[in-house]
Amino acid sequence: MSARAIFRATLVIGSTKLPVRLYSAARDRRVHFRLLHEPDHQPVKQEMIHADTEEPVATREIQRGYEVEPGRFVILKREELARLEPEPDRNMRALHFIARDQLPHMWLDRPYLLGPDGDAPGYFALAEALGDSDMAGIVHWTMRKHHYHGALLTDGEYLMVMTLHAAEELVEAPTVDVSTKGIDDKQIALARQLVETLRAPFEPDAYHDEYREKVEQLIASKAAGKKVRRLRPKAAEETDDLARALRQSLKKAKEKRVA
Amino acid sequence: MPEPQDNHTPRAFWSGTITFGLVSVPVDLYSARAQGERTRMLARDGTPLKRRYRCPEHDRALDDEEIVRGYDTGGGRFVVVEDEELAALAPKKSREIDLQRFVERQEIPAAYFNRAYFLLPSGDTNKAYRLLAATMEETGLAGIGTFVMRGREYLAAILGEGGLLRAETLRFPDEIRTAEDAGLPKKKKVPAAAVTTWKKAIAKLVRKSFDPDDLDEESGALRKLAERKLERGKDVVEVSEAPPEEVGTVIDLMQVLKQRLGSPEHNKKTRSKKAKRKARTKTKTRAKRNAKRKTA
Repeated sequence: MSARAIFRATLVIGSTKLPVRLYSAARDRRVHFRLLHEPDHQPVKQEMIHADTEEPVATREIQRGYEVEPGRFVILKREELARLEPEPDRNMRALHFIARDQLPHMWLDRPYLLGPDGDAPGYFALAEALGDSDMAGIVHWTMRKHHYHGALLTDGEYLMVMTLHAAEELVEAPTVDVSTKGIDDKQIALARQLVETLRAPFEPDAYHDEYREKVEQLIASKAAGKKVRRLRPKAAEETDDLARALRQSLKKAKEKRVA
Repeated sequence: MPEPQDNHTPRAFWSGTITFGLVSVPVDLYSARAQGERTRMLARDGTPLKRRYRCPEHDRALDDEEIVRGYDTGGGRFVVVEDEELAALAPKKSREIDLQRFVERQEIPAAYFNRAYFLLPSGDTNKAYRLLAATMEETGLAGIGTFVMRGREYLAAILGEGGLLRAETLRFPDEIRTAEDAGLPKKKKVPAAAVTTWKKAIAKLVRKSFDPDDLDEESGALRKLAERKLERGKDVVEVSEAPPEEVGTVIDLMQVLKQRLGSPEHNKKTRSKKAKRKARTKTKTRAKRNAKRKTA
């Protein structure tokens, strides 16, 4: 079954243009729960209340405030917020291109598939050009009154964009000492050997959400009125003798490889 | 054992152990996501609002202890599921990320990447942590494993960057819609001239590296508006005690690290040239961004 496009855009790279359709590429497969009031399993309702008086506040009374410092807010009026909304625009502009391996994984957010919107040969030509050059495009567009930045990518055949986080949406990683001080070279070499022994291609199909299946089973047996047995989680102990653990692991990994 | 929490130590999303081979590394997991540009809901008098749950049947506000999670089996019937039951479904995976395979980082397609988390050492010593972080960084590999957090299983890639371990949760294959799923047309023969045209268009826009400041242009609009109004003293309200935001608490990773990896003053002295250069660029970028903010 084909999915419905969520947006139509014109991809603009320099002076060259390509009409495209956007499809969401992320699917929600989670098991969804409702919050219930314990005694009679009545689904609860959410309400917003005044922090001091605890009186409910009606939706039309709610104002938006920007916290400039703790406890200090600047109220942003509806009209002011509306003025900040971008003008509707169909263009998805490529700002620049970087080597694909220069794109930091941390910035990646949501995937969207791009499909051709009329010009199929042009679409597949761009996918091929992008794949051959091993580049990622940094693109900007507006959709549903929001600005988006994304990375234009290809698997060699089709095009996709991944939205990118804004700088403010990420916690800055603290810089730390990379040194392996106090760890002898032998251990470093062993650790390296161990991960190299366990090196393999990325095979995502080898994994599936087993837990989701278990949750579904749990629900089914509880619905049928069966009693559910509980297992207690136990944490692994921290490794004391690092060198010994590494040596034994390496031996095991190698044996497994041969077998 | 959970550590005693003081007011300044941010709470970890998940605590457990990373294992590779027979080596166990105890870690705490913190979200790498910050709040970003967000506003809060305020009452007419400027007081922040709180969320509360209410039972429509009993027509009264509820305490947390009165609320349970239920799965809708249809026809208004629910199966109640407790947190302990969910954790007990996969006791090992709820406590452990077992890395059985190490893959080339660049080999994981971008569409798989979901959310980033920092992993900080939580054990008595941090030797194994530093060893794994350094090994992952030097080899450019990512350890792949699955774990259960807050009632959900995650596929994760554990990688090393800047001396820290990071977990990138990955989507499971059935959580990604393929071109075929979306009903996109099959590839047809491509005119060579068109490929050349695109290649030329791309080549004109090539840059050396990714610069987060490029994404800053439109963001920060709310903050700028708020700062302009603040200068004029317009629509500014103060509340004596603002209740903390319920979601996405900003964490001070540096502070946690200070406690876990020793004093950063000491670290500075032993930092490599490369790390120093990196730190300098980072400060510069920050400074640039801050300057931008001020002039805006």
